[in-house]
Amino acid sequence: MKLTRRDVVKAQAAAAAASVAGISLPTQATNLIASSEDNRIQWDKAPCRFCGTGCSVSVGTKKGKVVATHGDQLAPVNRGLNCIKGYFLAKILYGRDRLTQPMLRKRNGKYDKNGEFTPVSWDEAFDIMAEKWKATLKAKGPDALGMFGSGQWTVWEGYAASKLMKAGFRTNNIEPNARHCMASAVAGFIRTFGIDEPMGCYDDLEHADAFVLWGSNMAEMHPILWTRLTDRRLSYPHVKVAVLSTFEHRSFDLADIPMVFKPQTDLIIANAIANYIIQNNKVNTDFVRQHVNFRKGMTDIGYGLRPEHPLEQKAKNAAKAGASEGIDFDTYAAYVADYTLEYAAQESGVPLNRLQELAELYADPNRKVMSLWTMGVNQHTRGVWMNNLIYNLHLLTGKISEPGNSPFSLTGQPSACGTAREVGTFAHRLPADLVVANEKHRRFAEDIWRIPEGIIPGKVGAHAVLHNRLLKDGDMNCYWVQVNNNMQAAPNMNEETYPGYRNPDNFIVVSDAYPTVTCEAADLILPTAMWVEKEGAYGNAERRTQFWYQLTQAPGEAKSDLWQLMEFSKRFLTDEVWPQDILDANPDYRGRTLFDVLYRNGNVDRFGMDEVNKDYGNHESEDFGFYVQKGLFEEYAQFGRDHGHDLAPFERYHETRGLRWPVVNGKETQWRYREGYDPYVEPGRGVQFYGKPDGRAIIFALPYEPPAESPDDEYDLWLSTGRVLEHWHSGSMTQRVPELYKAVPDALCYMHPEDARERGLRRGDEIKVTSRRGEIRTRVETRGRNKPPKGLVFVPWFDASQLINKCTLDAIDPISKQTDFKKCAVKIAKA
Amino acid sequence: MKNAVKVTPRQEEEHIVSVIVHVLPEHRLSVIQGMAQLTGVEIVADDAQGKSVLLISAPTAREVMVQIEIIQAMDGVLSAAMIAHHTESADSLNETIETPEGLTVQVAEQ
Repeated sequence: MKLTRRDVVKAQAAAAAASVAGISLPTQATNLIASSEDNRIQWDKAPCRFCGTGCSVSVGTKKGKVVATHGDQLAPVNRGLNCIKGYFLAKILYGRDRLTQPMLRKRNGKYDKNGEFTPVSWDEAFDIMAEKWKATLKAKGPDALGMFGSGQWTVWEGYAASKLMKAGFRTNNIEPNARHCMASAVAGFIRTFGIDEPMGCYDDLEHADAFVLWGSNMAEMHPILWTRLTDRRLSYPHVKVAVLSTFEHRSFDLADIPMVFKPQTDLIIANAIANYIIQNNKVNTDFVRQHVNFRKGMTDIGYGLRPEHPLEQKAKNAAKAGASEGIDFDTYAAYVADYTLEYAAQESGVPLNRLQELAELYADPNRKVMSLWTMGVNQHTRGVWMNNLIYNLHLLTGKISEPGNSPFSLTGQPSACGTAREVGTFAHRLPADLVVANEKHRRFAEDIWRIPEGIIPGKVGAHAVLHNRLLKDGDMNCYWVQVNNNMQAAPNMNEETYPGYRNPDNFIVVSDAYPTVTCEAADLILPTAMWVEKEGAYGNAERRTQFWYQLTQAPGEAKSDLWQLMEFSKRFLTDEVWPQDILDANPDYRGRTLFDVLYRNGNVDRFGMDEVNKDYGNHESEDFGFYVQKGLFEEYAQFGRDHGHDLAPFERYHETRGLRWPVVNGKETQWRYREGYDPYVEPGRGVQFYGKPDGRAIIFALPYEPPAESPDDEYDLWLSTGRVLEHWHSGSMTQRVPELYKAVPDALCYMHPEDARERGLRRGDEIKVTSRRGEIRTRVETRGRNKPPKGLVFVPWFDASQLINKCTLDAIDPISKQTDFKKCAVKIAKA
Repeated sequence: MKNAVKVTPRQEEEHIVSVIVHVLPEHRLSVIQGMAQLTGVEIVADDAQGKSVLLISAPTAREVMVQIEIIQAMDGVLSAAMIAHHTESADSLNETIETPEGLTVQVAEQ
């Protein structure tokens, strides 16, 4: 029998897809012949570099170069599927403009804030950095230093960074960009359950009878999870999908209950559902009696703007935004009684019958409900409240912590959970949900880190938006940005971010793999090794920790963020950064470098080079002489073991497609807080929310409060920003993949055809989008995948040539400090 | 042996990609008809629940993307997820393979 190689390749590709889809081919391909070409490709696993779903990808390398990526069929998350971004993953490493050596702004051979970017050696780069850091420490102390990382740091990078800032330089001014993304979810979890991250997992997608999307466009933002949800909906006709958003998007295609609501009225809708459940006697009274407490939250809490802003002057309780007082069920029931479905329909613009159908999904005791949300809920000046209000619905009905009953906060970045949250790279946190404000927690961390008592400061550091204000005001003078594009991502760029970076008093360092607008605003750029150019670990939205090996060499002199942090620490002696009294009491620590006390501390350097897998490179360990990643991970894991955050031994993660913590006796945990699933629940308790001392979660009474800015006569449209499928986040990586760039080359302003017509605009016209803070030029799109209602426009933010964050407002949730990128007022005119 | 001084022309590449498409059942037939008309798209299998397996072949990844974009924009298409991707020169894909004794390879009919 004669065939071509094409026949074989096609048969292989078709068979792979059919097996993933679970359908048999009409003529089954059998006895496939592996081509000699395939044999020369080495296949390894790695989690995808992009979103928080945590798909595993088979990465094919040939002669040291990544040549192919396939969906990993052994991965429980994506089961062989890949979205478009994952599919082109290999190409993010090979953009033409990769940064390959450090670049310093210089004039006449010397550093100059207004000089030209000039290639320098790593030594020269670290010399000038150390000089600036030391001068600032001497002049103003540690709180004039700051660092801004991200949920794209690997677990050990975030951990090493947190140690360097909190224990090395003694400031808590370290933040991840997850502050812009997940902070409201975190505060929501801590307030309701006392412990961060979802109780359920992706397996809920195959068990739920209803899915409610609260401000999430999963079809475009989490396409693989959306495929699993779609599969469930199409396979079981009783399954219902409800989609809530302020504009119509691709997820509406599958919606049985589509709902476009007026911005901010999600607060009313959630309270109205709670009231419906109570009024119709659908409260799970046994569950509520045994497992729930009620509290009333502080109101009139402001918008986290600068203190002199009129809205802050007016807010009565901005200083105690997170406070609450205990109430009982009856008081709660009376509190929500005014929120009728009729009132919700009138305020939100959603038809009453749809709200009824939605409420009934939660109220029906025989229907398992999975609620899903991301930025629509989190990027909200009342984002923490919205998280609390969604939990209320699941707690009132007892629909929680079991297969299919699952309030599930989705994540935007690959390690927003694993690094930013679990490692605790926030201004107020330490690993495993510990906090800097708690003296016992600080002592515990100092003990694990083998550093003297009193080194970690107890003062909570500045949050992300405050970093930019402090830079602008000249109160923070040395700033290191790693693995994110904050100039493009942060709100109110014209008034706050850019002036801060270019303030002559400040020295800004940006580590990245590609030149971004943040790099352009920096004084020193450090070239960074990314993804499989280093050994890494990420943690996804369902508590799954995943590892990968270094599979290829980074180009030029690029080095990982981890290498950069550790190498930089060698330039400081404890005597230069730690207080005299602590050194007097602990003389053994004198005269040692921060590298010695933080990373050569007997923990991090505990594992030798003989433990590094010989089949893979490891550029950090080769330079430092010990197995850096294993040492950091094992030290970090000490924080969480035996208190609800247990991680497995290091090697186990290289062998598996990840494990969901807590991992107890070698077994991962799919559903937390329920006996039989979670080893931490005491026998006989049934359900135990052990993040709270009495094991009870909290239902919060919280009202509707208006947004910081709403349309008026002059600025007459709502502006919502967000992402599109083809470009993840700021586009600094995906814009470099030609296929993705060509598919959606430029951002557009999506608007209702009637809004366009009223302004004399036609599809494709060039326009100015103007807010009180800035303006951009873009083009009108009245068709396409996003269909805003009248009165609202949507502009994606990936496009560096159209920086929509010039227009956005830096209003934040006063509890979580997360920005509201979904609501401000703009006007639109022909350019 | 070929003449050593001859300049080798740039080899034509071929991309072969398999894709799973989810369709609302009521749109199944119209979507399948639509997809079947696209250049380089073969429908390998589909089931009553609205799932289809496609093969897309094209000379560039860009053209593969265009086909997927067109499919995703069709009425009733809920998702299109990629599974396997293979790239090599068209010449080498045209090489014939002698199958060893006892082995058969069957390929879905187009």
